[in-house]
Amino acid sequence: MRFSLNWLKEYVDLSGIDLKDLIDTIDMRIATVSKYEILSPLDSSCIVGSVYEVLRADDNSLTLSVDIGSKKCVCVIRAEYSIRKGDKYAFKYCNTSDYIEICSVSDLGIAIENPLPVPTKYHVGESVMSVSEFQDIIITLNPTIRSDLLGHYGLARELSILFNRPLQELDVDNILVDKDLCSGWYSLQSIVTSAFNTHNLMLPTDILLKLYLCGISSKNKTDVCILSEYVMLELGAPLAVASIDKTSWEQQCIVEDTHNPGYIKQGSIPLTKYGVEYYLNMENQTSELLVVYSAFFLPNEVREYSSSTLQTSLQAERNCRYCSLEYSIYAIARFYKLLRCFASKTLIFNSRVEATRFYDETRETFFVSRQMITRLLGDDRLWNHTVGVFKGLGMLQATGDDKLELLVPIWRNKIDLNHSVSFVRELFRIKGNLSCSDVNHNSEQDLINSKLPGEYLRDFLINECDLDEKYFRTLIVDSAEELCANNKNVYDFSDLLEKVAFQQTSIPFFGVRKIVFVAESNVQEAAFLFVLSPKDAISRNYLIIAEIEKVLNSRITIHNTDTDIITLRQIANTIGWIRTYSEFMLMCVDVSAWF
Amino acid sequence: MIHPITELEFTLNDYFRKKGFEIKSCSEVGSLNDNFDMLNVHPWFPARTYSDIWFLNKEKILKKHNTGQIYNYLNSETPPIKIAFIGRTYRKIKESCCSDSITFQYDGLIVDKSISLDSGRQLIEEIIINVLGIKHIRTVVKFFPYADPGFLLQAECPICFGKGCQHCDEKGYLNLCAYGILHQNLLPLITLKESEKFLGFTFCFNISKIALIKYKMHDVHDLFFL
Repeated sequence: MRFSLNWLKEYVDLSGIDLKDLIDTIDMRIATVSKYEILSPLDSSCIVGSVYEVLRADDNSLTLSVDIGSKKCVCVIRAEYSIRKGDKYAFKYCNTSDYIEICSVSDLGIAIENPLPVPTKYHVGESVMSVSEFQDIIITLNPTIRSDLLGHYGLARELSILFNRPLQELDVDNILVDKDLCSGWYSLQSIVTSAFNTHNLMLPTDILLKLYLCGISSKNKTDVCILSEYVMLELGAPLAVASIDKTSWEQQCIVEDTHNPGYIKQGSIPLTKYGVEYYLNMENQTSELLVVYSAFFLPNEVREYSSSTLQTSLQAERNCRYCSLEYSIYAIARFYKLLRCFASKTLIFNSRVEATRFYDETRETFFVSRQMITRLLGDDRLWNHTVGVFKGLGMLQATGDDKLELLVPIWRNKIDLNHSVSFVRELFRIKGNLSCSDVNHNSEQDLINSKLPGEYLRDFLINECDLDEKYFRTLIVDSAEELCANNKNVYDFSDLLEKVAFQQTSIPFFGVRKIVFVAESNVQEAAFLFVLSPKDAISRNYLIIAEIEKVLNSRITIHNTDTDIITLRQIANTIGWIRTYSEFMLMCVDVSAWF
Repeated sequence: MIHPITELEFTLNDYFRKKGFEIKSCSEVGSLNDNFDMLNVHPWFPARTYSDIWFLNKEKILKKHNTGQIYNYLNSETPPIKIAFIGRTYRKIKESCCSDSITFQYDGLIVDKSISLDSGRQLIEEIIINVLGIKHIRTVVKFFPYADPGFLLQAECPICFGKGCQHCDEKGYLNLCAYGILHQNLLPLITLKESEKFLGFTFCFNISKIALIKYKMHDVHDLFFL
């Protein structure tokens, strides 16, 4: 999800805050910052141009007739973009006076190869350097399960609490559906720097939504993830602005029949298992969306999704990332339904049961007490901050002496705030790191390099099991080759291991390099030295053990060895199979002398 | 000279033994049930993507994380519980120099009447700073379905010192340990009557990344070719 810093500043005053501090705060307290990009200023030769004619050739290349104020020029684009008559874009001069080039989004420093649109308020022929929307910082956050962080206002609300700055309250009166604006958004994609009008919300149209859905199915998996971000970006912001509690619902619509026949046309494809019923009319290329599942509940059917169903339905054969598909569509459904509800002031449920659940669950309250905070944290130092934090987060319902009544706001889903302790987590998040006593960082205790691994076992056997040290002999070698060369009855099974490992298909071997078998006359059972990088990489591989048995012509018993040996009997049973996991150390124990 | 993973394992084993922990072994094969369902992870949760999991058959998977093991211990052991265990986890992820499909995780579980977030955090920081010798750490609040409140302990990248480089995926910090209070949906498994008194604390060290920082290695894949 991409956020524009300029846009954020319209909702909360961020002046005087260092960019690094801002990014760190968002990263640590709100959501992981994937990256942030500072838009590079364009060259002074770039100007605003208006497209007044679009000619599409057979090879999908576009020939644009552009008005740049002083004269009319021609621009040829050899790619398929949704450029329409009347759109304004940034252009730059070529060597030839009658031809101009269209600027790309990548000229701003963002790795997207799309034409760079200019908001319509700027005049033709004006220098692009004066476009304030291009002087911005784009912050990319990793997707989270928090729905309010899908929009700018949600992030601004968090920043206002963290930096103790006032948040501009928005009173949404009208919801507009502006097709032209939506078209501009579609081409703008990630750099949506145009802001909402304070009292109006602007929604994308059904056609735009259809483009998104079709685009999701036809893109490769990388693009799917990116595409879903755009959807969330555009649709997320209104959700965070609107408050369902303050809306007076004029009617309540309960659709008893899930498949409303009025919305199904011939040739439509129903997709019913994604929390949204989306009917794509393939005949006249128009879409109709009817969300009959409640947007506020996750249907159980999501679990049973079939990726092939969606792919077949949308006639896409490419490999998509299924979870992203599902999640994207769910997100679209959730936001779109909510927005439509606000637009019509109507609540839509697919059954009376869900309507009841909706009203019940929205009234669910939680309680956070001083006792709970004391039990979790060890003391009640954070209790004094609770009222301010929860009020800022829009959760506080009522206060008491040692108890707070809290409600999950509409912009937060009930997944991450599902029990009382979750609210304490919010308290920790806003107030920073835990205010508990610090660890003594100056201690010189450092256990690393103090002992070799075999010595742990040897010490344990000597101290805990009262074994005499004379029974132990430590052999330290520099390599497996040296071990094999200097000791009798030492076999190197490296080649065998490689051979067998490559035959394995179910569980691949990673990092297994050498295996050495060691047998000495004074040891009751042979000790294995598994020359491995990862521990246990071979422990359950009976195929390899079987191959070794063939070479040695003897039976090998597998013990579940561990250094955590408890009894002498267990030691006697397992000591013959000591595995030090080390390439350079071998410990042999004469267990026959114990008895 | 021993392998870094082994060295860290023995170091942590030794430390936890002294703290009264019981060291257990951990299987590498699990099921969707014990890896996700029993850990309060919803079926639609993004981290539960089918394309991120190695399936052995329809039911069995290579464990995506070791934390699922705590569910077994919660059922089999009686509190107070102090358990630590190491194991390998498998994920289908985009590999980079700091992330690999195979990760070594060192998990632990404490269920006690005296444990709190404060004492748990001290335990984690003591291990990271004093035992493993890693400085420049920070704590981030993070949502985990099985631990709430949950935290993520991050350490400064030893290559770029927090500026962001290829080594740390341009983030400047590497995730070393996830810890938090066990979610209430899991804790009442022990006993409903005692749930108010007993509190669960769980943690999970990413041994591979600790080895990267501790031994100043440049690629996590080097761990498999030492």
